[in-house]
Amino acid sequence: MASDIKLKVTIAKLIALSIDENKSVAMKIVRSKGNFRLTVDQDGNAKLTGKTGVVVFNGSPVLEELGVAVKYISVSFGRNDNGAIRYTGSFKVGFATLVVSGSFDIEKLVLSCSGILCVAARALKDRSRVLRDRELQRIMQ
Amino acid sequence: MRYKYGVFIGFGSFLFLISCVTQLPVQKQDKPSDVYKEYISSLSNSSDEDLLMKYWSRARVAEGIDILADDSENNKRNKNAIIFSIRFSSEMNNILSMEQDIKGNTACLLVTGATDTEKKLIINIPYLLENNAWKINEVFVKYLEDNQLVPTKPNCTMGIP
Repeated sequence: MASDIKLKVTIAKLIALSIDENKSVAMKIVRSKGNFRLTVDQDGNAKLTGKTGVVVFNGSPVLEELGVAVKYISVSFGRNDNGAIRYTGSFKVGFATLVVSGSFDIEKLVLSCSGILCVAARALKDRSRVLRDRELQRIMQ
Repeated sequence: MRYKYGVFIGFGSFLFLISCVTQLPVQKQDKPSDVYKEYISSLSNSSDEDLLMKYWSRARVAEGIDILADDSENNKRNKNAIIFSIRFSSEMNNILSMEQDIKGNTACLLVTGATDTEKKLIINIPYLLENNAWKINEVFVKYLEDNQLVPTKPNCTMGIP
């Protein structure tokens, strides 16, 4: 999988993790009209922050799947005119900062995650994991 | 007397030669883009340690060299991160253009190109001049969306969005 796609899938997994941690607050944040932000530090401490609340969760399982140590992740989200969520994510890996951007439909992501258990990454067998990542890749344009 | 003149002439010639040598033009310093091209051509036949030592700034060498030497399992992800960043240009399959902005002992090189999946990609590289050689200090890699314009000016102040 190309690096940019890996990063986009990572963002999707982190959103899914935040929903798993506190569904009511996370869903309010991602469904709100305003901007919101996702940050993760090098120890996996993750935070989804919006005007309607904050969800603090452990992002380590997702970082471990990347296979490289990440110093930080910072993603800013906003709304497109068509209602889709726009995002720009910045990943600090070693001496490099990698930036990806795109848009996605939050309802598709939520539906997809509840269907293919995208949060419980460790519980998935390799084949299921590949299928899940392919599905997330399709959603995170 | 003739011997004295000979000594003067010999000494004068020596001074003339010295002055010629000292007035030789200083060896032309490679630009960051030249160093970058050399770095790319070395990727396939250089070790991670060699790439770090030769092309990266002293601060990055100090930060990365011990991590590269540590093969323990709990250092694996840290080591992978350093290797990934040292070999950052592998993300770009083909180069379309290079622009650089040199200001004293610092420079910013913009490399534009595409990934192996034909996605537009730009890399901004801050360089530092150390011991008369340009060294990479950091790397900013940005994957562009299809509708995003490729910038033409280097920008090494890309930060957290």
